[in-house]
Amino acid sequence: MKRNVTLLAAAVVVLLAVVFGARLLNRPAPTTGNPPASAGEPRQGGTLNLAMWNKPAGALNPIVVDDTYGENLQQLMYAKLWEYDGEFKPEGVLATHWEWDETNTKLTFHLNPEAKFFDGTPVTAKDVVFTYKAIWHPRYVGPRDAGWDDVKGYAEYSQGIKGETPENFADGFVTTDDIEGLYAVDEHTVVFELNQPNAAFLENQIVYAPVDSSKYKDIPVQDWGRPGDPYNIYPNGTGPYKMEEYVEGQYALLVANENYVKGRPNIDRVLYRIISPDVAVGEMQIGNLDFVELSPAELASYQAMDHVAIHEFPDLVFQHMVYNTVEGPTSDVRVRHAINYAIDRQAIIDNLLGGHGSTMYGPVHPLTWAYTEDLEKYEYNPDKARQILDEAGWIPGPDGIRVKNGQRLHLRLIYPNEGNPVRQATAPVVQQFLKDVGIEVELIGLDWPSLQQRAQYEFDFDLYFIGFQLSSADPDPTGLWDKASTVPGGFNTSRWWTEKSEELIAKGKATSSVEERTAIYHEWAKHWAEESPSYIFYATNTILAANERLQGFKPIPREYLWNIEDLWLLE
Amino acid sequence: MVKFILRRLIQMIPILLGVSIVLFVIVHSVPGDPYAYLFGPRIDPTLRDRLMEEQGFNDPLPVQYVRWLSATLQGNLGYSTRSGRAVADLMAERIPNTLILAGAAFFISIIVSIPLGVLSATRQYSFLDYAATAFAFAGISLPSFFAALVLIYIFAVQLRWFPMNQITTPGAPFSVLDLLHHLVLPATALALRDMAAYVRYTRSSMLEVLRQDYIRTARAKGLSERVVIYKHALRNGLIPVVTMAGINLPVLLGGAVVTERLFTWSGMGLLTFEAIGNRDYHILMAVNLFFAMLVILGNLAADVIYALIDPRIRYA
Repeated sequence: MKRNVTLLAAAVVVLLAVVFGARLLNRPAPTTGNPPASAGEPRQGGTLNLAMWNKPAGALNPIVVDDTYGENLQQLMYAKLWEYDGEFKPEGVLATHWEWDETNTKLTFHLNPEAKFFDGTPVTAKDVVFTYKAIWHPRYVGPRDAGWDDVKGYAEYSQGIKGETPENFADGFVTTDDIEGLYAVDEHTVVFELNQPNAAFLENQIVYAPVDSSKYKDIPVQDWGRPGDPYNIYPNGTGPYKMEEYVEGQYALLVANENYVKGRPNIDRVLYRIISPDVAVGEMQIGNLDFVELSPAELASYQAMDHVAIHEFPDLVFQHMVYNTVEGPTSDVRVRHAINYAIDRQAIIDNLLGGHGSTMYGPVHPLTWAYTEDLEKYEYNPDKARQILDEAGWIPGPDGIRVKNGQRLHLRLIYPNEGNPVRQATAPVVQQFLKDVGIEVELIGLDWPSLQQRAQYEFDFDLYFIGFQLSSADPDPTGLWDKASTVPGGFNTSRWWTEKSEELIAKGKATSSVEERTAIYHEWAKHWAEESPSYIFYATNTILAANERLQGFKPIPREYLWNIEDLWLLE
Repeated sequence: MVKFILRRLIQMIPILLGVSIVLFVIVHSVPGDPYAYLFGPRIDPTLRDRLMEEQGFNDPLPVQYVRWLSATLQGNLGYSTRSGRAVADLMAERIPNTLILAGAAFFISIIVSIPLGVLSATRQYSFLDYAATAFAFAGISLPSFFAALVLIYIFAVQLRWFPMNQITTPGAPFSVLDLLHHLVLPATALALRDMAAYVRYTRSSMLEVLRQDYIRTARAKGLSERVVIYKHALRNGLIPVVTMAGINLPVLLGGAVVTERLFTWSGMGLLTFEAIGNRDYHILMAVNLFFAMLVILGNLAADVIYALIDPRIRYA
């Protein structure tokens, strides 16, 4: 009964937090539960019960899907050439192995002859050629068409000049014909050729699962994943599970694929139900979920359950405050430095995240091999912040807010007012930290579409809170901190770039030697810290609560189910 | 009467036109780019412009409105900008779910509250009256979100009598019993607020009616208490409740966003919730017009039922 009282209390606390926007500060640091060692032989059978907080947007095709839950479902139905193993090392799935040539410009994949689609037909080099050409097709509209400039013949193909007939280019049809930089050598060997070395190419680009060319060759690429695509929800895929029943807005039920290249999964079915996050605790309590992602505020409720183990690890996501480096007071690097010194990031991690975050100094994520702390860390030092502002000509006015040339030091901080309560709570805290050094901050909370419009397209902000999820474990910062990403709609919303940074980013891609690349990224990180286009608060920790009946569960960031074929359920 | 209904129906046309113009302007002036999802962040700006042009997204608002209106009048409600599905299909999928939920909630609230209100009035200041009043105030004050969570906690988590999510059991063949099993909690949660209000309305209106002369006359004639209350008093006592119910029915149909979200009951409320998040213009337009139409029809229905139950009201 005591447990129930605690649970109810916890539920009420969470509820109050939701209803009244209360911030939960100073929660006790939780202990991480150890999942019990799996005992005995894996059992075949059972249904893995999972949750999604929203309905998938619609597209489940691997090159069109652009939302979290669609992505989760797609990953169950499609296998990739390679996938990360439990240590973030690429491991062959549809491909047995691959190699770069000595010039680092030619990447050859050797497909597993046992790799088959659901219907038993083999996955061939033609399917790979077909799928990647579809991404490059001029009629393809979607999020995958970036980062391919190094591929030979990509430019001509993507502009509709060479590689298909003019009719096919105009109508959106893709063929399996080779092009200069992507071709099938034989049925099971496929080659990508680049104009210049790009060491991050494998992990950043070759991450899309091949589709069945025999099915998709008759469907124009702009219709893939749309309502007219008969293979969108029930595809002829290659992954560990195939869709059995999909009820829009309700659930997706998948069944084990007997032909899966890594062997039939132990668990017979996967059931993804859409549920409101507000009732997830209850569903977990009665055993209707096998694992769920949770926020630190909810941890106590889950820890109180006897049948639940907690898994906690740093994620590939980090939260930062982007500076407008082009316009306004923050275009002065000294103002950026002062703000860096004025914020106590450890206090934010301890108090707002309850310790469930990891410090991240500089732009290279701690989980990647190029992480370094040999750079300016901007540890909390408000006196230094004031001194820098004085030197920069911002002198405190009568009300304590600094003034320069008659202009008040007034900064507009825009942040998402939905999605992440901790990030929302960080805004007034930063406002207070900056007020202490004489900077006035105006808080502007916006919903997602408005925020995206204002930050990514109009650059109408001084400070901007956003999380960023790294797409791979490769440290190459292309796509986030390069010049090309400063265009409207790009992710480099600070619009910061320097010749030196561009040069180092290019050098980092030109060699596949990990030692050389490490040195390059260390230098680049140092340069980035000097320039400070953003202030990084922390790398978020992911916390999962898993039902103890789930055996073999070894989640890694983003790929909680990387070993899904080995998972099994106790009776 | 028929004339009256016809006139009201004709009046609907300018009202709906006005509503649609206001809606169109509001929906399109909300900041945010619904096409960002459509094209992805890295799309070539010239291609983006070409596609925007092709789809007519760049035209002036009045032109877009006229195009939308003529399409709508021809029965084409447009397509979701997010998923590309036809809005009419989405609504056809969702409306039955909402009707089931709202209908059940309406039924529960009426079937419980009217007898409770009558008892409460006929036994004024009894224990039952106080209990009903306390229940009514609790029901009115509790946000439906909280009431739903309390129901879930007691009946789904602790007692495990009812499921707290979905409309039917995933993977199981459809059965009415299964549907009803899933319906109990969300319908009760949705009914609670209205139920409480109806109890209060029934009670006070009955109290007023019971003091009228014609009730005294009826009693003086020696009619049984049963006949006096249920034949003479109730018919007049129900008039304000009918008004409330007529106004509430569209609210019930459209305002179940929170309940539908909490119980993953994929009806119109959840559709609205999803569409707002994605700035899905066509869905928002269609859904809101649908609600506007419901409000008008709900009021009309209330007026018609008035005339049926209140002999003093005549529409010419």
